[in-house]
Amino acid sequence: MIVKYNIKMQYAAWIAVATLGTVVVMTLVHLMRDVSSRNAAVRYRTELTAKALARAVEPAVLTTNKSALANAVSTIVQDEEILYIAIRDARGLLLYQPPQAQTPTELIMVKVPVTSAYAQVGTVELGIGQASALGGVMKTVLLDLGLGVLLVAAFVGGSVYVSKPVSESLLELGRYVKRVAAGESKGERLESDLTEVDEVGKTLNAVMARVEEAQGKLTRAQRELKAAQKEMDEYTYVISHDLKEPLRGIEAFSKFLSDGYRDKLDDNGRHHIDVIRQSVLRMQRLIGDLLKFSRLAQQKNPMSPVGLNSMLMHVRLNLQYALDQKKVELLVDKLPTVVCDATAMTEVFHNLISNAIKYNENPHPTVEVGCAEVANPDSGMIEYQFHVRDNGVGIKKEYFDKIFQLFQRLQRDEEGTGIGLTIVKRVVEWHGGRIWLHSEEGKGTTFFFTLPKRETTKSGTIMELPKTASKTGGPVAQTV
Amino acid sequence: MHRPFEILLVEDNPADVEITIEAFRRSRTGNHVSVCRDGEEALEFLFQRGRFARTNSAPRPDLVLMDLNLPRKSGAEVIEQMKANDGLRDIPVVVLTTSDRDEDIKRCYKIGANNYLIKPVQFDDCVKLIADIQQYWLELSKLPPR
Repeated sequence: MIVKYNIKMQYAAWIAVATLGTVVVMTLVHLMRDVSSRNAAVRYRTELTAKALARAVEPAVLTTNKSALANAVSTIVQDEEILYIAIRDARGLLLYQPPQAQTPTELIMVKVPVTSAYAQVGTVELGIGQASALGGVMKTVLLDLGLGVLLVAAFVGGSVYVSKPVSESLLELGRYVKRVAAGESKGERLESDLTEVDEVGKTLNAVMARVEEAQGKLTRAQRELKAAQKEMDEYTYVISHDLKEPLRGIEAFSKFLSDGYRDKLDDNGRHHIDVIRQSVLRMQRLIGDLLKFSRLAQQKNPMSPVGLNSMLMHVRLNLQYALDQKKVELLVDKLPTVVCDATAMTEVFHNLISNAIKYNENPHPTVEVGCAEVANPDSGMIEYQFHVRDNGVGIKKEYFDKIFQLFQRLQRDEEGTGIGLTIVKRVVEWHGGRIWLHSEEGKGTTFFFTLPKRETTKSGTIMELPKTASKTGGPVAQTV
Repeated sequence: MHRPFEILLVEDNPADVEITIEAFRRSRTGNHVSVCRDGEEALEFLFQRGRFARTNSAPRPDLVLMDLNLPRKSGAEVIEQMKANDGLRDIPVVVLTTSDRDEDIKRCYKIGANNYLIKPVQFDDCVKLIADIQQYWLELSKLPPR
């Protein structure tokens, strides 16, 4: 696990450790010097006392007068730290010792000879307790430690105070970067009193300025593209409408000619009129499909959840005549409910199935519609992958792209205008899907297309489903 | 069974006028059709002013067939002025146009058009539509008594 540090805490901790360390080292040095100097001072004082005592007790030692000795001791030795007093004669025999004297072990002993006429007549022994010397030292240690604690507190406080702007600047930087990442920093620029953070901020600002510029360009380009596409759709609509007007004239007046003047024309003339009438029909279909195409692009209906099996039932009813004529078996798997523009999606299935019926010369023609859940190769999101499979004539690989283009047809037929697959592709793409096909000549064609897997929440908004590993929609063939 | 009705057709395209008149002729209803070629003329006809100020030159129509895209004043403007007038408000107006735009349809009903129909391309469909219009508006419907 990674331990995360807060800069303020880390500063304070380091300062505390450093100060404490310094205080301890200083105290030890102080202590050592203090102990030695203190010992020296006590010893010196004791020596002075001992010397004074030695002079004072000289007559009493010579006379071995014990009461005089006691008297001298009690007058001269006032120091409470002197815990041991002994006066001995020249041979070392004890002449006097006060009653409460401690044993000389663990005491610092000072021995001074008692001299009389330059001859040693005895010894004065004084002992001072190390404890008393240390007692003074303890005070020093406590004082030092107290000072140390004060210093630590001061330094820690200081470091916290000093690191506060750093910490705040860094936090501000962090918040700014977060807003940048969330795309909420539009037009915002980071400024900081701290040079280092300001430098980072400047770099970040420069990066953001460039990102915003690029975004602006992209948005403009997208807007222009959208506007251009809208204009195109508008043109398509207006042009096809304006074309309808003269077409009505040609239709009606060629009919008047055909109805009223057929007898007055020869075979050639009648043929010419028939060709006009057929051309009108074809023109009418083209314009109709073009209008349908532009209307699908322009008037987008609201997206709503649509049960595809019931939608396919309507498509089947619409195609019933063609299905019966060719005795085509239409098999529809269990399909999901998807969020889509119902009108447009109906058009997709209608066109694909109608093509599958139309371009089928198989003695037992079949069309299968199914769906599987597949992960998108780019985003990894789970999406629906639909297929419409036939056993018809098939399509050459070189035409795979061409068939999706406007007015592109692979067969000469009376009804087709070559707009159906263009509509299918457009609808699938505006729903966020892709379309492609597999085909083999003489064996059949399978169109595949994807739709994002969305789910409607209770509030009615539509959201993308997160990636899941669920898999439904097995090949349960079922005739709807 | 009934007196001939007065119908006003407002249409600028000469071919369309001919087609519609031919469709009326084929429907054999015997109704009388007047034609105005733009919005301004239609307003003069309806309000019996200008060229139509003379008595009986512009009979009050029982039904108006209105194209939308007209020179000078549009079909919608004519409808608005008709519906703002006490004497003309009760004349049913049937919009007959090529436009199937949502906004056109919504606007026409909003300003008081009584019906919105799209011109068929096929002449046969046109004949049927004209016959249906007359049957519905002039035979099945009870119009305000004159």
